[in-house]
Amino acid sequence: MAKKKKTYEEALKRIDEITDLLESEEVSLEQSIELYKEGAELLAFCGEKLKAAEQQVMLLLKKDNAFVEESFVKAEEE
Amino acid sequence: MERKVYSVLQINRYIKGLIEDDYILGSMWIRGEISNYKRHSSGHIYFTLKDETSSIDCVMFKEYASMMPFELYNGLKAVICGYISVYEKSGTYKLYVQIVDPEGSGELSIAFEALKNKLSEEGLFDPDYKREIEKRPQTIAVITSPTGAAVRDIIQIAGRRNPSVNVVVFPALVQGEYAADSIVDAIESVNEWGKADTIIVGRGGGSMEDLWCFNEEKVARAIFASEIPVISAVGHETDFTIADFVADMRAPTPSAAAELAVNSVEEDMEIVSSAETRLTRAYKGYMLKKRLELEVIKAKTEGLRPDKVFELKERELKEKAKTLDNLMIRFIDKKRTGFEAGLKNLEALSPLSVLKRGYSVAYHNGRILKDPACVKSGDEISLHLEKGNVYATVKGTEING
Repeated sequence: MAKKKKTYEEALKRIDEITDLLESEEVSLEQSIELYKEGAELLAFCGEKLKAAEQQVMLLLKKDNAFVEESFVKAEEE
Repeated sequence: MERKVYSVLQINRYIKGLIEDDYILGSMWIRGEISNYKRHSSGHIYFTLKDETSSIDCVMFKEYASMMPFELYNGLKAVICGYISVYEKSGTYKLYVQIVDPEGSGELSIAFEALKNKLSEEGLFDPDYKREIEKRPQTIAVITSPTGAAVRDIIQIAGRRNPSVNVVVFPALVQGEYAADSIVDAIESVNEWGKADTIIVGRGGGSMEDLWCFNEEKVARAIFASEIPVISAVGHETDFTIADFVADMRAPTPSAAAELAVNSVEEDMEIVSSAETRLTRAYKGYMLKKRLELEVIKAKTEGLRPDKVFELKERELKEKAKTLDNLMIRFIDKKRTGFEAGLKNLEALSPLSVLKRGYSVAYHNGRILKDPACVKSGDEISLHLEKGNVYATVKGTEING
């Protein structure tokens, strides 16, 4: 869980690094193409992470020392 | 005549006798504000009682101090009962305090200030102990009443900012006699459950009595002991509770807590978009430079002065950079309406920008001309430039390599 989250931040950091490398012009033409490709892939990865999802709301209860997860909507109706 | 010489002790003792025999100083009530409060390990309490223009040192011996139902604190306004006496060793007089009667504030606020001081001295509010709130949580736990307005606000705002964050509500009593125990149990349970990145604990607005459970010591200690970072969200912006001081972050309201706990997808998208813009610009800039180098080499082989060419190209480059900047600004604006849509816009824009840079596209029979083998001398072709078209006749062809 924690690892995945880190990867997103790392991806953004790497994109910045690539940008800096390209701006520094200290890379060969071949490298620059590879770097741009890598950057584009990382951007797609970050975009994917931000894709919309449906919100999940749960009600967490402790019954007889065990955790029970219920749908929150259902709990409201009770 | 012989002089009568006294020892220092004799004089101090004489003064002490005078003062202690005094009709008023032997027992009186005196009004002031407590400052420099200090509880000594011996159990005696020392403080200074002051008003606008004057102050007096006070001591409260252990036997009186232990009888007090609450703790004193700096800033407390009180009426104090005691007597004045002289400490022979230093020749200083002090007010020996027997009773402290707080003025102006109710019992609750005295208890509040006392607990606040106690926990503060223990270091429970120390910034060093504050845990960092997870920036990109997957699950947030909300400890509050499952039927209140607070829980609805939190769910709504969390969902608006980032629907992929799961919200788990752990119900707790947030008012009344059993509220503190219920909140403590909830904090411990959520820690035991272990799947939440952040805990929000709070409730909507109410009177000081309504919010009181968030001023109880056990709640403060449970928040402090929580492994999972805790955001407090009690009442309105103006309500401050002990829970707020001990929490890793204080939110002025439950809604604000959701804002602090959940990252905004929209803001994240803007960050990704701007990273993309910068990357694309750097790449284009790089390619432009490489082409320029090529032009210089070409010019050299054609016997032109390279420095002249360089000057010319540099000017061109600057103009192109400006175009890129404008493109970028437009691009960012577009991005606000959506990441994917923005991406398409960039692609749509790029052929135009190529033409602006002075390139042209050749058409033959309505198709883009890519291969010289497709035409022969005498064929009519058209060149598509940024500002219009040029019509030409092929004089000859040559195939590279």
